[in-house]
Amino acid sequence: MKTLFYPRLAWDGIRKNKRMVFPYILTCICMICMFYILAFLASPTVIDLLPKGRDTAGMVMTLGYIVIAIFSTIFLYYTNSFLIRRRTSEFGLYNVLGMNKWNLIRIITLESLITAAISIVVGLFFGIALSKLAELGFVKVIGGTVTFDLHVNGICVRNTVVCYLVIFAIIWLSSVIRIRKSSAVSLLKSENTGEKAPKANRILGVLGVVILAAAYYIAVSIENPIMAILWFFVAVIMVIIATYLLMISGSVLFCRLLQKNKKYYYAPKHFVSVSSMVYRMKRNGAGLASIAIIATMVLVMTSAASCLWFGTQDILNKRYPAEINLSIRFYKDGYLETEKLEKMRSIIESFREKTGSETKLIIDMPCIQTYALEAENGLLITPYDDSTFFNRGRSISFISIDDYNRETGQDAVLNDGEALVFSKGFSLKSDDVVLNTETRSLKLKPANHGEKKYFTYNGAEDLFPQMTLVVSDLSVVEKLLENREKDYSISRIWAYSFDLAQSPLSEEEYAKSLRKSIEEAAPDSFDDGTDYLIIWEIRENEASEYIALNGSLFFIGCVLSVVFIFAAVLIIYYKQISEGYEDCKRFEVMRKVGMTKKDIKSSINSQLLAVFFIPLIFAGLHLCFAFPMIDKVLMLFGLLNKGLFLLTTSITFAMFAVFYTIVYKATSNVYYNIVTAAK
Amino acid sequence: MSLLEVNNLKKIYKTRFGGQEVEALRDVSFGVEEGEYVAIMGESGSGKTTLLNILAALDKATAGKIVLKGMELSEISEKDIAAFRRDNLGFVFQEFNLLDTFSIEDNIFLPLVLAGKDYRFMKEKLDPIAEKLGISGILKKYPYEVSGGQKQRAAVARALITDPMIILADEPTGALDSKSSDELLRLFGEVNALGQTILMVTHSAKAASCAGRVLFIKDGEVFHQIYRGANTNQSFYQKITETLTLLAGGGSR
Repeated sequence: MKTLFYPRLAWDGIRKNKRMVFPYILTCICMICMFYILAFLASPTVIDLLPKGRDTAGMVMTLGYIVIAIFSTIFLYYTNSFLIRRRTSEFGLYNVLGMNKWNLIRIITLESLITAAISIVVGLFFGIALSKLAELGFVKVIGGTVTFDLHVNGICVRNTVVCYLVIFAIIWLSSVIRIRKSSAVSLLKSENTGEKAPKANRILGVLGVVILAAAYYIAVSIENPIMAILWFFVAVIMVIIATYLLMISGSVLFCRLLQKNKKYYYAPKHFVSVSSMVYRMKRNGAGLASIAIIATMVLVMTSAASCLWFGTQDILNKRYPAEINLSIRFYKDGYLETEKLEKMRSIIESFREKTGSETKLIIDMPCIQTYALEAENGLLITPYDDSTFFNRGRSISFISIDDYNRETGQDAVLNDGEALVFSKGFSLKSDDVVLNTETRSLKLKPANHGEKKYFTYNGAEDLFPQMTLVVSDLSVVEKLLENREKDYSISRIWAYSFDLAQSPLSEEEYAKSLRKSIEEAAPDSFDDGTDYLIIWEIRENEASEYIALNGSLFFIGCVLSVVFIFAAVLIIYYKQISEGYEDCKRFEVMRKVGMTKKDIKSSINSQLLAVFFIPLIFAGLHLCFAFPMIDKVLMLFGLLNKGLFLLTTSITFAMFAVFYTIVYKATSNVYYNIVTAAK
Repeated sequence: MSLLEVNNLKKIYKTRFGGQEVEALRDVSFGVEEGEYVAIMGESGSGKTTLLNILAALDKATAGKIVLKGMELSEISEKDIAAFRRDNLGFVFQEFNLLDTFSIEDNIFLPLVLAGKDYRFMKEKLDPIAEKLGISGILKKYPYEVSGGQKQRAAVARALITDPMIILADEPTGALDSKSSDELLRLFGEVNALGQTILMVTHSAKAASCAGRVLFIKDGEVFHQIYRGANTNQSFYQKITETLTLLAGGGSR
């Protein structure tokens, strides 16, 4: 009897508070389940099933479960401290009835053990059960061969158990410390310490607006993808801080301003709502801000990841314009001259005839690439250090007017010293583009010729803002850059891409032997065979890497979204419950003072609705402003399809809004039950 | 005709699953004249609070009728009852029932705002009342910032501001210390002297001794009533305690 006393008390403690504790345990289970699944997907059991890109996929999954572990720690810690706070009066009563702190700690410890045991066992059970499903989905997405037998990975189980035992230990320790520090009277009283009227903190509220505006400005104004990725995290942190400031202080400030307007405030419709909102926002500001941020996170993550996934083919087509992509890099000048290139072309052509194949030429473009700094009135080609380069570095490609006309089917004519200028990601201020090196300069008049379409042979992977200059002859450029190879990075590249329409050889064999025959022929054609490098890329082969990366990102995006949404739902749920308990007294008073039940209900409804919409509006706003920035970041992944991103973002937002509404409706019922059950 | 007439009021509570019936009020009849100050006394469980809740239209009687200035309470529709309560009745509760989300001033304004009055009208109405109740200095404060006595005076102000036909007070001194109680009872006396009808439920003989008439309720019926007449507070108090002793010991009439 005596030995079972404390376990029974602990079990009762959980059972009696089931409204609070069950959702908490459910969340623990969900997180443990997801953790195991991701750990399982990152393990060799699954990764070895993938055809290619194993390292990439494994890395992304590992990153995923680390994120879940960190998020679980923080989130469960705070949820638990909320639960403990609500129960302090119960502990206070035990204390007054003669239990000492050690007894209380014993109960807490037993409760923690029960919670941890249930969560880990059930979480692992579902994790293992669902891991097969996840494995099938994951392998299917990336394109491996699926097997249908169930595996359990012992190491993953062990890691999951150890990780969550540590997390539960941390949580347990924090509860113990809280109990130890408090006195009996404070334990009893802690739940009904009179609530102070929220003070509107002007400075914090204004600060929130300023920081948010600054973050939005950063997000909208940045044009350079490199800068976008650097500033993205700064902007994210600013937005998080601003959201909290605005929700906690800004909202109170706003309500106070409304109260100052006597005519507005003292109207039957607004009177109760506005003054209750002040308190609601004070209590829920932090929770609402968390919901808004989690919602934004989910939205950004899923829209970007799904865009990447659905845009993979797009990325591939841009990055690898044809089935077989040759690029020949020359280390000395003179090779890009027409006559030498003709010789190369004839080598390629004779190889085609010899093998009896049909090819379709997609790109044939010699070009010179270098980097320049954007300067006051033009571009400066100069040795640079990395820090200035991040800001002002521009990637410059030169192509000749003949090649341009041939590729685009146009009929452009250039005069001496003129150039067609196409740029992306930046624009020069002056009309005259002056291209400077330390010793020479070249003045290039931009000639608007025909469509002003951005044109480059293959620049999608380039990180810097780009400019393509169409000059009359590449020798002009050679003269400009003469003998400066040591100082600047200059590449002479001949891009030659084609589809293999029909051939006895496979794409890979074809590319390999073509390279060989060029190399064999080269010593006769060129002065020195070591001065060039032939690279061949088969789109099909490269594709699997991209699919592995984007597929895992998409997959992880979905899994993490589920976890985050779960967290958001829990926050909403607890918010409703704690509000319900606090409001039921107020509800009663208002009735006595002369409000009808209908009045009260409609007033509460409008407040709940406002509280409901605020995070959604914030999330939507954040998403809108994040859009251009994420679009830039996606460019780094090679995705230039704004329309697709817009589509995935809108769909994600719509789906989220619907889901959020359903959750809110469901939890509102809990709220009404509490409020009406009181009387 | 009396301002308030209560005839053969009966209230039976059913336990939730329809089992046992509890008779809270058996047969209560009395009247309150305009300008009268009536106290209702009785032990806990005698049906005092039930009676007050029915008078306040917060609860419905099983049988009997209540007529307030010619209007029968049970005939007012559910829709209008809140407005009726707001316009004709003033409430003072033991627990003050101030909303902690409002400042003292806004708490007092609440019934007027609900009635759709504009700010200037309310302010003009409030100033003399606040002056009389001595709460002018704390109007901008919040309930948690002021003492129990001040809270109760604010609650009285809230009851008075609508010029109600009758003030219903439920144990108004129950949560107050003796000094604040005296203060409140003095205020009630003054308000009554100005013509305000007051009906107060209490089990404090001291509080009851300030009224003009005391009704005693026992086992759901009006057991006895005594008038102050020419008695001083002191001797009236004596009479009340004697009746209470009789009630507790006696049993039947």
